[in-house]
Amino acid sequence: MNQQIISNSGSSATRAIYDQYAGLLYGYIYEVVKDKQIAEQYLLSVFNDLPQHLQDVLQPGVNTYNRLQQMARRSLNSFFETVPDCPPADNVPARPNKFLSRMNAEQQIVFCNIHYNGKSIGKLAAELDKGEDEIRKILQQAFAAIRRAA
Amino acid sequence: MNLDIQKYLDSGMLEAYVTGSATQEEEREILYFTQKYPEVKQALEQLELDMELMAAVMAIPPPPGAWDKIDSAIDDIILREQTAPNPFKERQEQSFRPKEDAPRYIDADIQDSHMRVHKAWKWVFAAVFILGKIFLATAIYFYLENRQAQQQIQELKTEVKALK
Repeated sequence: MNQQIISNSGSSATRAIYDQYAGLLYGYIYEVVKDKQIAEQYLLSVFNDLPQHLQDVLQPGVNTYNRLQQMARRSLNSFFETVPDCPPADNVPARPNKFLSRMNAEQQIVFCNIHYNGKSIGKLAAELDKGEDEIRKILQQAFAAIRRAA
Repeated sequence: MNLDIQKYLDSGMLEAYVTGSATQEEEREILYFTQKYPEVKQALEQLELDMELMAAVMAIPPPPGAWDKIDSAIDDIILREQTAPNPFKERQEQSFRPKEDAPRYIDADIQDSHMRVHKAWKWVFAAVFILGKIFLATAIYFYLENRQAQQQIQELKTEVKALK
């Protein structure tokens, strides 16, 4: 009986999270995979796994969207390996993106490779022949651009 | 604000964490700093909000029917969890009886250098140990007695020779 209550409340909690964040997550996944059907599959995968992670996602002080995005990234891990490098700076987003348009070319490449292509700082640093500290610094500047655009 | 903390905030480490590109070691370090320094925690929360805001602007309404698929998948999990376990049934005595032609022992290839014995053997080992001690004491006693007797015989022989 208790199991049923927990399961049912888990289902309604999942629904509430879906209503609030599914669109945000679907938008992010679409930017990664650039195909709506594939994006839907990954979205379903994240929300199918969500009941097992509800305790973690609903912890006080935790940003729910951030946790969902972490789950999506884990789910996309194998996809990231197949994604080609970010396109040239003038063609980074799949859709118009006012945040990316506020970044300079270098910031766009770093942000795109990390956020949409799932690359680690170390890997990107090696690819761009820069130091990891420099990549982090550029990433920080990219976030400053996002904040300015908000 | 502490200069080191400001330096840490300016390092881009938190941005790497929020984008999931930090190493596990860096993640542990960041979580430690967020617990220790409220400024770090506040900065991290702000970055998470920035990400959420960007996602909100770039959001796409999920495909119609997506929730129904998720809901049915969750229901499926719940139904599987609610399946009643098989009630316990006492096994029939007959099921324990070996077949007539079956060997009484099975071969076991065990690498362990230890063996297990029945507790009753404890008393047997104790009795063997005590009896061993008794036999050893008796043997020493008779050896000494014998040596003393030999000495006495030797002395008597010497006395007899002297009397002759």
